[in-house]
Amino acid sequence: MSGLAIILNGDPTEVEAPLTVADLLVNRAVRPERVVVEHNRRILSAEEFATVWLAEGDELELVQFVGGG
Amino acid sequence: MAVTIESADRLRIGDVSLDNRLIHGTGRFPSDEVLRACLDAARPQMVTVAIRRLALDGGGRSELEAVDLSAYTLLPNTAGATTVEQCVRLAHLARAGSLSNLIKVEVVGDERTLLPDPAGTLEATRVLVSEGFTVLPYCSDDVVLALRLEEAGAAAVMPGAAPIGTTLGMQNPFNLRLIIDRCSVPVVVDAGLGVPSEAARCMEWGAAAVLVNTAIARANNPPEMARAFSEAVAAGRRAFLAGRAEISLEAARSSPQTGLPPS
Repeated sequence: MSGLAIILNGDPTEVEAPLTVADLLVNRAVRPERVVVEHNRRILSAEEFATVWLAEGDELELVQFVGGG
Repeated sequence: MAVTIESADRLRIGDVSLDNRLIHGTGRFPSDEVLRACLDAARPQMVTVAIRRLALDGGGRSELEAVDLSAYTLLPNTAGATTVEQCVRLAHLARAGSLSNLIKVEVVGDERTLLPDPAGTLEATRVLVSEGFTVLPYCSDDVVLALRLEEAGAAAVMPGAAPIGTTLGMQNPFNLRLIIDRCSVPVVVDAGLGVPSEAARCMEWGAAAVLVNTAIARANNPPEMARAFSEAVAAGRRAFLAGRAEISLEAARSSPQTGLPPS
């Protein structure tokens, strides 16, 4: 296990590697069915959550639908 | 003779077909539970949502948790975008979340009034149409802009009645009516409505639908107001289809003159 510096929703964040996007969602108690993940500006399909490994300097955006007009 | 119009009078936008012509917003409600009560009262089929970053310190609870979004046709917006690029990025994220091509384009051009940027709105519409989106642009009440958006491939146009969240009602009825008259695509009056009679009036003019958010969310009793808007939209639509009586500048008796007993 080693520390990895990523940018998570715009914030510099340390995570324990190795980990996949799916691992990160579990760690953060995010239910995968309610989230859209953008990895280095590429939107991931839900199937990719478990296969994309995070690397140093990666940028992740986790977004969801919220109330709006 | 009872005439049922509802079943034959669906609004079609892209692949979507709506019986209820009230599009219901989901922002600024006191709670998710109140929002759910409003949706149960108004029974809309299409609801708007925005897309935002997850609050990762929120303990895993997401917004709109109490609402079964799968029961509705989602119309995600690009609210918050001030550039074409940001709008397109939000549209891509929204498509991944809703698994649909429907998008309400919003490109704000002025932060104080939240009025849309006409040039950015038109350009974003062009880009997203070329990418296969079904685009409903929120636009100012400019007649020629509405026509240009239609030419650019917008599936509907959404002129504002008044700035977002003001509940001022229709500030420029003449332009709204011209847009309704001139556009071939459905015209959805969006933003700034305050009371159900205004929604009914828009529908009587021939608007295809109205989008209401703040007027419901900030009412004293939001679910009752939601129901009132839903009823007003249906009444206004029915009146439009019925066709109003002609205006006469001379009085015309509605009771017969013949057979009147003398004094």
